[in-house]
Amino acid sequence: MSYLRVPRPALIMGCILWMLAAPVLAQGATNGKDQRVPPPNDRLHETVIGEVRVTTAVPSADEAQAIFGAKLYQRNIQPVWIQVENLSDETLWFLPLGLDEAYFTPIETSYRHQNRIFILNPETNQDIYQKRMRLRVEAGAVRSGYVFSRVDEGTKSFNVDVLGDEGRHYMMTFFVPVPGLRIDHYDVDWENLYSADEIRKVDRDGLIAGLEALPCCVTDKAGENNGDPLNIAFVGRPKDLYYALIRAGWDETETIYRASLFKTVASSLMGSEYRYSPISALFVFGRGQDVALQKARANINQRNHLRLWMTPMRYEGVPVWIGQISRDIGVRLTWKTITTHKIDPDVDETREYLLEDLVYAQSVNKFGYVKGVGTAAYDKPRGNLTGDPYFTDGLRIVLFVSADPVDISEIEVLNLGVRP
Amino acid sequence: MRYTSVLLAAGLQFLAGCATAPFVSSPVEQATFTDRAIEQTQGIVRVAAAVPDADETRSLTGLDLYAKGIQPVWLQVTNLGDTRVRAAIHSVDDEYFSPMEVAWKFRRYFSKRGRADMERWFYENQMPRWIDPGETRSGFVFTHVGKGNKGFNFDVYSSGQSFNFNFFIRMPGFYADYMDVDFERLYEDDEIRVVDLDGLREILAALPCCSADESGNAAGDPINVAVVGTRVAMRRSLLRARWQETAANDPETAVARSHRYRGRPPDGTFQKSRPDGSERKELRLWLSPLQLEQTPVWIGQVSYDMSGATGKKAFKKYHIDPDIDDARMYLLQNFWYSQSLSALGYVGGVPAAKINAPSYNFAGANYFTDGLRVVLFVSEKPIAMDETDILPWELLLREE
Repeated sequence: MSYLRVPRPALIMGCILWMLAAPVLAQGATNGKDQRVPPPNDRLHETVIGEVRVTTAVPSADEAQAIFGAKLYQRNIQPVWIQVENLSDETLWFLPLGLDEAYFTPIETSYRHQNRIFILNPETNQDIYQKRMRLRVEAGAVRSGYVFSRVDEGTKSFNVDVLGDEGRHYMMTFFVPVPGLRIDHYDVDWENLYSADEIRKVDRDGLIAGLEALPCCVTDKAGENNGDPLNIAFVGRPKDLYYALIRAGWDETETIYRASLFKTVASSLMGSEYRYSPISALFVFGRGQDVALQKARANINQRNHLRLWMTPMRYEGVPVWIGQISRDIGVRLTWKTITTHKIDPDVDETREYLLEDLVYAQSVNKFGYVKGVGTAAYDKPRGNLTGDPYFTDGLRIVLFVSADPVDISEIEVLNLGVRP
Repeated sequence: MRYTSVLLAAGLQFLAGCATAPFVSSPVEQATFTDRAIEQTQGIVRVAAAVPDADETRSLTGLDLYAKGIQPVWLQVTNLGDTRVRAAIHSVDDEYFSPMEVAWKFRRYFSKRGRADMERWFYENQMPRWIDPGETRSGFVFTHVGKGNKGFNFDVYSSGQSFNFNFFIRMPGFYADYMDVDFERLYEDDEIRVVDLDGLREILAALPCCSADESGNAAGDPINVAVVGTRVAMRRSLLRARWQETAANDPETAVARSHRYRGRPPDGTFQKSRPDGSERKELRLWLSPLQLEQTPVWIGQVSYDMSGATGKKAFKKYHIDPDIDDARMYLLQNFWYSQSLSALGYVGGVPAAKINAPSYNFAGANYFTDGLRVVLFVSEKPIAMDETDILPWELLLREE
């Protein structure tokens, strides 16, 4: 399965031809309802769902400067080029809020660039405004333009939401590497992670038994020492899982303004290695995590970390995942690693937080609990690999990820044999 | 002066760091703030809620939680049904503090024993997430201190059903602008116009383009929003979408109050700030005399204030984003993503203006617009995004 389309030669050729024609289009020679802005580069990523084709590209800092005549990245602004081709027979709505909940308006983008010396209608205003992406895409129309998002340091990962009437929705996730920035999205070949004879199809009872038989905890690389509890399980297709987590604000990267101070301190203390691997590897199935995400909260010290591994289990054809979540509640000093994050010892609370986080992202249609972690009483906590204590009721939460939005009154609470 | 206080604060920190005090709390059952608890029942769930103020929090825990930006909200849930229900803590504050996180912030104040006692207190006094049939359970959710009264949503759910509570708790010393407005008496009975959907569409398009200044002669910002919803739905939607209410006569809303509809300043002004800057969106709402069947219709203005200035300066430095349609577009999405929108539509009513020939309001601020008003139908119950109806009203693209 390949929901992430890498540029193909044909696409690149098409793009080059189109870029030649594009200046004419951009200058108002639009064909009826079409409104096109040429893409910033030929690193196009495309996804098609039904009658909607979405193409995206993200300019690097230099490309953005060439296009807009402004160092937008320095102002924490990262333009994302979006093109929506609506081949259906109804008006569709592209919602930039789904791409970044704190996106910048076009004029604000030029305002930030001008260091707040506000002048109406200078050429930059006009220019940036004309290049914006619109909300509505009429039946049969092609529209493209920029959304001005906050800067992500590495691979730009974002959702594109397109909605129609009567509940039609086209929801997609893109991972776009940006040259000059670090690469932190590892495009795992999910299809071939396990060979055909390793894959285990499970029914409900098999799912429960299979999940309960997985190791209690992550280990270090040697597999000798147990670390944080594996108290999260997902049932979901990779694309739906990524979509849900990105929708809830989880990211593989951090925005610059949030991380820069921390990075400065951290890199001076620990060299650049720390800077490029802010989330350390923990091991299950003898390998480091398949997916590592973090979610920044108000304070830079306050992040949540999530690590996931795909298991060989398939429930109704859908992959089953196991994972670990931790909540930083502060920074402390240790002899081993100089500084480390203080982890909330109440790991069950963090587990329940994740459920609610995804519920309000409208992404969970069922959940339940299984055993497998083993209890650790408040008074007799266990320790993880960095010496943080934790206590737990010993349960794993099993979250079924939905491809369609689910509101809170539609969620099914499953009885999988145990409950907290 | 400033340095003295910094040194003083540092000194106090140092002393606090060396403290060996035990943790002394008083039992929640003896606290008086729960006497003010507000109780609501929906279906099989009864909820009581109360918020201790800074002093009451100090006498409860011995700690100044408010000074660290933490406001405890006390909740009590009674399950009157025969299935287990779950309290969604996240609905109260999506960035709530975990109990152990609160304890971590005060770790230096205590002896080893004192710290352990404190941690246990926070752990044991958190609001439990599951409530069995017939059971009553209570505890705290540790939220961020907001400006103003404490308004919050609280969702309780079980398989295939949810109960969506909305609490509004008055905090001493704060008086929101809309609390001055007697909504029941704003209009005489013969002023109220009850309309159907087609009538609503027609009348909304025929409303004046803009607010007016105090004299009623000069046009202000365009009226680019209409909201159809009960007061409860309105309040819930604003909370879900994280808009902050403003105090009556707040210097920050001086500009907002200079805009008049039917001769009066906004019935309520709400603000929402960027997470990474001083810019903010401003939503000004007035109750209109229109009713869609039984439901009130609100009209309003949404704009994006990019100056970050307050008071007198605000008038001088006031800059709205002239691309005023972008603020409207933001509001629409904001309500859509926060599960508040049962339907949406557009009507005309504002003269269109292009970027190179903008319109001006009475304060000299300029804006351009496609001339549309967005009409948002808000719901008391959460609505999944794909359940929102898009009304086939004004779908012409005028922006080109």
